Amino acid sequence: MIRLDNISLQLNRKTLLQDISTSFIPGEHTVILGPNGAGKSTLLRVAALGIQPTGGTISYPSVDISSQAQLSKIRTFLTQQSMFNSELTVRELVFMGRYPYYHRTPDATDIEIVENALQRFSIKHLSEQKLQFLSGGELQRTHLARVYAQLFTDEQISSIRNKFLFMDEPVNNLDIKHQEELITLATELTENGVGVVSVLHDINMALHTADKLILLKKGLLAGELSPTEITENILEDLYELPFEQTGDLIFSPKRIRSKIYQFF
Amino acid sequence: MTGKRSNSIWYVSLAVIWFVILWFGLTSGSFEIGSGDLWNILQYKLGFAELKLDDLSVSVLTQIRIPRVILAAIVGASLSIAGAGLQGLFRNPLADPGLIGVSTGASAFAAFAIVLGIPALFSVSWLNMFALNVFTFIGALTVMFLAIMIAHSRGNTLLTTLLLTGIALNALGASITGLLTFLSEDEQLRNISFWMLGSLGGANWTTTLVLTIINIPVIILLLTRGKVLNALSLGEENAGYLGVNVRREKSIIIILSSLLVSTCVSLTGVIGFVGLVVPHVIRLLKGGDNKFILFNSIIVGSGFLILADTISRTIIIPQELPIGIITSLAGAPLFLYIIIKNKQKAGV
Repeated sequence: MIRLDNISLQLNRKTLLQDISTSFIPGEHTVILGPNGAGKSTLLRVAALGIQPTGGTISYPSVDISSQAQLSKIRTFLTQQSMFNSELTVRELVFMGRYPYYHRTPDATDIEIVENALQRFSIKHLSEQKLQFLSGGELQRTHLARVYAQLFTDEQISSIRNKFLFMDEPVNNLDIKHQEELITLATELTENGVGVVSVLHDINMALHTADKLILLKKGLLAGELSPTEITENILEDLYELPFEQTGDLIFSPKRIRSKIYQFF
Repeated sequence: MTGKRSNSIWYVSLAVIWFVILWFGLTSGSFEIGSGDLWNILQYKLGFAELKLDDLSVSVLTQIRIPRVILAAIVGASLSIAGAGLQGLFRNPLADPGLIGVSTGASAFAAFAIVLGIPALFSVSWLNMFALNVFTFIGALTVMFLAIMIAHSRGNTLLTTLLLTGIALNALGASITGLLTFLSEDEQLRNISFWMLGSLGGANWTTTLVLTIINIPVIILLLTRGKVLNALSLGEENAGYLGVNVRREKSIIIILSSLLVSTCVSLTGVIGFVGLVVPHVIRLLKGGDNKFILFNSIIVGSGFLILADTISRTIIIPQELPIGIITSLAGAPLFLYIIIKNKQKAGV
């Protein structure tokens, strides 16, 4: 379990996160929801120790959190895509997921895990392709394969138990089919004991996949609840936008829907 | 990871070209030494044959040419791998080993020493001989630490600040050198331009050994940084998630690369374009895996500089052309070609 106690983050005298206490549990998918600028990505990065908080404490199970090498073997992070070395091939990028585990050259286990990951994300046929020639979706799946490969200690699926996967808006660039595959992935990982923590913009996708929701507004914790506890009022408070429930667990902003209706 | 077969073709052709250049470097020069002579000396040294050559040929080869070729190889390898390291670190294929101002700063110190006549101040002859080298080396290290200190903030080296600092220090160094050129006499001016354009003319066993002892371990250390550079190519934050101690590794790569450039500059002056072009060409031909680029920079860089040095001392016998002119003359058009090619690739 990852515990955050009274976490605060100030950068250039601006408060980005204030007094946040929560925990992430292996086998659970936690989704962070909130409007733009609420500090969702920041909270994700602080929890993954990519940024040091300026106040509060974070504890990880059985690792020295000052050691990047130890941390990299129990948590992995899918960042939003940014600048990268586009001359690398797909396979080379996926192999980076094994960097924490091998020193000079990958062994048979590393190679097997990488091949499985290439297969798992249907990018095996692109293995020798340079990243600069990939589409946005293919690139996203390659990065997913990389962080997936990083979860395994050895080739056994049981070796991913009690590890953590952080994902910052993972469905960006993915078409509907691959979005569904991502949800399947999250479910599969949590069933095997991985703690998944992600930032999603799609409320309904969050409600359908999350075990727990963390609501964030202006750097403050606005609520921590299960998807079934979500109501129109809670969303209205969070996004400052009227909502209506249109199905079992389907919420839509009122105004936009009425606009769409005008078109029909 | 390119195919095993295409890699073995690459390495075999590289080895063939490298040894042809080596042979060319050892047999060419103002003093005639043929392949047969080379073979004879090799057999003699190994105890297989009688020496058929006169003493002069032997001493030209063993005291002048061999140390010079080794020096060229180590300087070429050092500058190229330093360039590869910095290009990887800055995630910028245009990064050059002189990026943070080390070469220009060293030249300014050299010009300073020449104009003030500092080498002549030492009465001990060996100190007198190496005073200029030592002074330049101190200059290079001073600039390196100055740049790193300015770019340092709360235990972290800010790469953008380092880049800007380098631009400022390069301008400062160049203007100081310019000022000193203006104040210098003819003989001094000749010496200053030696530093500005580079030459391996000072090669002997002492300089070669000094460079070997310092640079070979540094090169080997830098070689182990391929994985780290690959991880850093995803950005500092992602490298951290992959288990890299980013702050420490950045300092290590900057210091190792700058150290290589400093030793080279202090022994041979500024040799431009090698460190920029060699890793770039390898990346262009064989992809962006930094492990591969670092290792191959050593082979390609050493071969390239042996070739450039051989041309520089044979093209206008009995005089020598500064090697920096050759490397820039060969490097600049190649570089322009790469820029144009990249432009076409980008402009869909």
